[in-house]
Amino acid sequence: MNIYLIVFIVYFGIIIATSIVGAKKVESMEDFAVGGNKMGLMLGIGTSIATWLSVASVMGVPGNIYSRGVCAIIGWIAGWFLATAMMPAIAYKIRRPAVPCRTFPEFIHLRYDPESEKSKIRIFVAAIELVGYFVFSFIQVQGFGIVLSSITGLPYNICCVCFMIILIFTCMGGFESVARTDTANAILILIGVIAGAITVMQLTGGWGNIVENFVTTTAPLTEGGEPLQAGILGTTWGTFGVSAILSTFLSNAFGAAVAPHWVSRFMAPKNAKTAALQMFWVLILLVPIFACLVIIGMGGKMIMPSLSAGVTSDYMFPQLIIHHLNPVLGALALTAICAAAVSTANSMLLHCSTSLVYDIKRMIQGKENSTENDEKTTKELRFWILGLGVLAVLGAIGQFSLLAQGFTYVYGAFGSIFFALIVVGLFSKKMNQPAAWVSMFVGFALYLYCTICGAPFGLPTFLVSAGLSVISAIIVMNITKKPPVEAYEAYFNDNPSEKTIATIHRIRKDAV
Amino acid sequence: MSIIPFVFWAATLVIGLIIYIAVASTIEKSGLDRLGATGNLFTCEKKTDAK
Repeated sequence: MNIYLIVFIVYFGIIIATSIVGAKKVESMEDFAVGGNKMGLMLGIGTSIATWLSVASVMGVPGNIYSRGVCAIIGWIAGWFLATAMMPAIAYKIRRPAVPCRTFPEFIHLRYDPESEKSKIRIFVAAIELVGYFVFSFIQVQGFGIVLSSITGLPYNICCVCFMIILIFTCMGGFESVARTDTANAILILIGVIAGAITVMQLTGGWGNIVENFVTTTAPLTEGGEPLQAGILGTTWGTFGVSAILSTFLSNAFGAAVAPHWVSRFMAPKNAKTAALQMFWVLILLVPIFACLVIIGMGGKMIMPSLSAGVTSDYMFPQLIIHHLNPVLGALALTAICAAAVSTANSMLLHCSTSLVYDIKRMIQGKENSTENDEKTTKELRFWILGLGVLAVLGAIGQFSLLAQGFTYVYGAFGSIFFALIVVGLFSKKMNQPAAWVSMFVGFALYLYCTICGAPFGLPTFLVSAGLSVISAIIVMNITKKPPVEAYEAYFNDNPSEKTIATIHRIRKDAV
Repeated sequence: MSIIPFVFWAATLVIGLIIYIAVASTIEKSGLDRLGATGNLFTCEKKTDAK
């Protein structure tokens, strides 16, 4: 048995054991969805870092730098860092109420439809969340399949099925189990990418040589392909061009900042300061990890000037590890990539199942508040995680797309649909339900149109869709009537009225 | 090699620091334990006095 498989088996044994322990601690629906709103700073930092580090970042970013040049730093790295930079402001607002919401659609229900029992806007938002996170989970399965099949030589499809087995264990324990697994994964990812970067520096002879090669190389992406224009990889806009890079940057920055899984994460910490501080620390701690990924992407071009024909740039890091890294360090780095896939996919599947069971099914059925219903919902959540995991694996089998690009599309769609709902809704009392509906439809329709047909005047797609979505929200909220006080009071006042608190408990369907 | 991508990246860190300080200052001004006010911008847990 080779060293890669031994490290893999040990790692997944630990992850499965941790998840089983975590699953036993789950007592209520609140524990399952948001860890009982009592998460501390360290666990919050660990789970947030691991969520940022998906296969899109660990494999997609070095692959994009390798194939597109340093412009990928603007589009992806700076985009995601700006999203993280803005998150403390959103986290503070979301966690400000004494009794926070438990899911993103529940927050939408309270903010835009507090008087309704069966909220249509909540069901609509949950359905969008379900589709978006299913795509995210599917991307993680693909990343894992690529890595495991590269190492073991097993067929890609079999590797996707292996992923599902691991995923089931890690998701069954709910939020705290996911958070604990994520924290362990974050440490492993850090060790793995540092090992990768150190080896690349040794093989290339240092940063100076890496840069010199990067700005002069003409080696094509794949063997037998078109040679690159000399120096193109070192230019500001690389092979993408200004509009495409700025659109990617804006989608990643403003789309990720309002992505529903982040909004849900901000509900879990024990207070608003913890929610804001965890994101500030994440911003700082991600710097060394992404610096390593830049070194791997740029250095990879010197070590392996072209990839084998028929593979995408996402294979660059796994191929570099297998062919050029010390086997022990390589095993760590590859396990880190799989850890990234597992940690992101499990939180995405948790969101998918929560949307489906808690925000759609429970809302349509309009069940009474009771501890019994709470327990039943928790059981259903576990069942649906399994079902959605199977679907994600089936979807990933035989399908290939570029990992980081796939994330950008989903973030772009989320940002175009939800930016006005979240940002305008958290910072303006006037934002109301008609404005929310209009902004979602305008954002979604324009994002779809600009992505397929191209944005007018060569403008970045995201700027057009999200910008016009916000403008339409501002117009509609100013010509329609103000929302009821219970819709916004908890987010603007530290001591909300009894009526607002009662509304929050009613929407949460708290057992009484 | 263009340094603009690296400048973009560094700028996001500065923006992050400014936004965090603005948020933490608001929480500290409120003085509410419930929100996590501790008297220090970079801590979220109050030190407990030794008995």
